[in-house]
Amino acid sequence: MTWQLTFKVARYKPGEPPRTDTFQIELDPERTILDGVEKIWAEQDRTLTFRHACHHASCGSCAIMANDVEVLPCIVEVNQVTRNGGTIEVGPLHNFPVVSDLVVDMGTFFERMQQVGMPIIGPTDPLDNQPKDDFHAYENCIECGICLSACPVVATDPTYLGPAALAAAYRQYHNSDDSEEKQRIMNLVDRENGIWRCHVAYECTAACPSNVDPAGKIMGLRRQATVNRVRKLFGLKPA
Amino acid sequence: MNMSEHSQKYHVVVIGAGSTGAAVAHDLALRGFKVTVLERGEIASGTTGRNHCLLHSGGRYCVKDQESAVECIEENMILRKIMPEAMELNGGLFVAVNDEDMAYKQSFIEGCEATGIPYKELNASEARRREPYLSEKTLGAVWVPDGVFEPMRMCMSFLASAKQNGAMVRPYVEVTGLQVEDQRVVAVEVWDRISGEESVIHADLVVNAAGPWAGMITDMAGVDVPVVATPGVMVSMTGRYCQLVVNRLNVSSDGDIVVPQRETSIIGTSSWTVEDADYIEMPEDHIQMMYDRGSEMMPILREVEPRGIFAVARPLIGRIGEDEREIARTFKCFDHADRDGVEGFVTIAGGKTTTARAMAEGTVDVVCAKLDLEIPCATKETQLLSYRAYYTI
Ligand SMILES: Cc1cc2nc3c(=O)[nH]c(=O)nc-3n(C[C@H](O)[C@H](O)[C@H](O)COP(=O)(O)OP(=O)(O)OC[C@H]3O[C@@H](n4cnc5c(N)ncnc54)[C@H](O)[C@@H]3O)c2cc1C
Ligand code: SF4
Repeated sequence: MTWQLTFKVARYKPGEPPRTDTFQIELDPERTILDGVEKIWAEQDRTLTFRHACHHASCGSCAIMANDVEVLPCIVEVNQVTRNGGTIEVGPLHNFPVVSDLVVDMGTFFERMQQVGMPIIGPTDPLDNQPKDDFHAYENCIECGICLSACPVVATDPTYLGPAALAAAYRQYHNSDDSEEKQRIMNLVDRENGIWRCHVAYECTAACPSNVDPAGKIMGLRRQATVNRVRKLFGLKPA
Repeated sequence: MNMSEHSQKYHVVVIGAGSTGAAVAHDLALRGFKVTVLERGEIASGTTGRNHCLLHSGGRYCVKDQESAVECIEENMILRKIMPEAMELNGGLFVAVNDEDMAYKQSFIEGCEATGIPYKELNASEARRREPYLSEKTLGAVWVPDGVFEPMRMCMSFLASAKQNGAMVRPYVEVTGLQVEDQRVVAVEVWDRISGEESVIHADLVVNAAGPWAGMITDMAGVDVPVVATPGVMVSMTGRYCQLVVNRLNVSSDGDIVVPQRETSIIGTSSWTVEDADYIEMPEDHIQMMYDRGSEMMPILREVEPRGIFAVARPLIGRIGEDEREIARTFKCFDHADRDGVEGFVTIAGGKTTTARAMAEGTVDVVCAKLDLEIPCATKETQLLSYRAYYTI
């Protein structure tokens, strides 16, 4: 069984005014929004550009707005957002420069993730040492950018480090035993456009598809920064 | 004599930024060539990004296709050293759940020994202690050094290193034609899908790494390669129910492997052939087969919700109509000068993401030989940059 669907796609090409294109497609209701977008590209409009790779919410590349909410379109079935004969609106993430159509520029985002330096997959080699039974090598964050799109502060201050990098900083701080590394992370985040810029709206935590809870982590870093200040008064190293 | 002074003179265009094209670009750049990578979509938006994420130990091939198995274990051991950030080295089990599987165990172990795959036998209770969600019917298992990678990040890692060595990487640029003069490919016609501009890029040599679309590229030069687009379905379940990769201890078949990645367990895969791999309609019965077969090893997979269902096509070397499972999984580099009398044009196809580095080594050796250069490959020893550097270089 297939459904008749209308896709309204936000279009943008450099040097041209943004517009919205409407496409009619037939799709099995159990296929995803990303399947719909790929089908439009394959069958109707080869100029449509979009980011995607894994199609199972691990790579983080396909994040977009669908019906005005941030989603990973690869795991949202069309029947979850519309009905037979219905419409789905898709557009690029907010708060990122748009490169073309649904493609946004992730350059600054990855630069900040690299500054923090938290590996998303920890070093693991069972040939050298057997992992523990409850072993988890992956960090949850898939670097999709959804939390930045949802954040009201990122919208007004492009220099703000943003929820994903701050959440990574929290993990890197606590994963490290090295006091220099801890200090480096604190220097990076304990400043005006770091942890203190957050308005505690918790939009990032609500939007994150991967249960990272960036807002909770930012609050954790704030407590840590305060504790470290007190310790410094007593001549102690950062905890 | 410093050979890279010579290689710098040559501009090599690589078509496709899947694992094959990305690894080829890295190898070429490391050997000093001037490199441009053209990819019509995002990095890894073809087959690579959507594959099963298994860093093969070779176990899946050690009985029936030992050449592939040897390739896999060799590359597995190299990749875990040069690219640690893009993979989880968690290991894998081959699990027996019936007498027929147990009867296969001896040939499996002989296969591991013949191909040099380290292994360890586990009895049923050891296996279920390691993996509590394995079926109660489990009779025994064999451990091998499988791993799990992030295919997109692997490609980005290769490309970051290529960029560091001067390569130009151009996503959203589609190759629309090849210009052939006097039986030699001299330039590539491209269409930039962002700006809409069409242009021509001169090339001393073109490497076609377009995966299941390789045939569309060779058509542009009036030659033909026997690459068959052979899709498979995968179902990613909500929740991670094994820490190690779980394979069925038997001859490869549909739905016989569960790959844990992040917080998901991915069941795969199946096999059929298509003419056009741009949009793949998934057969409902293949999806059902994933639940049915996957749950024979791990019954919980029948009870939990799917998270993502997807399919993607292998670029296998063979002809449509041949039995897909019999088509060899190893790779082949076609020099169109020998084969079809067209100079300056090489196609690399087949293989796996696990063997991308070796595929690249073989291909760039062919490129060097064609240009009469002797530059040794150094990718085995070269630590790759972080995938994040793809965006920051
Ligand atoms: C279902 C399935 C599961 C698999 N699982 C695994 C696994 O677990 N482990 C493993 O090691 N291997 C696995 N493989 C094999 C592996 O994924 C492939 O062998 C490998 O990804 C092929 O890479 P490639 O770069 O050759 O092709 P692709 O990744 O398809 O790259 C080709 C690129 O060329 C681009 N392109 C096409 N036409 C043009 C054009 N005209 N201009 C510019 N660019 C163009 C495409 O967009 C594409 O990105 C699996 C394969 C399948 C099908
Ligand atoms: S914290 Fe969550 S929303 Fe933000 S980039 Fe990471 S996975 Fe995406």
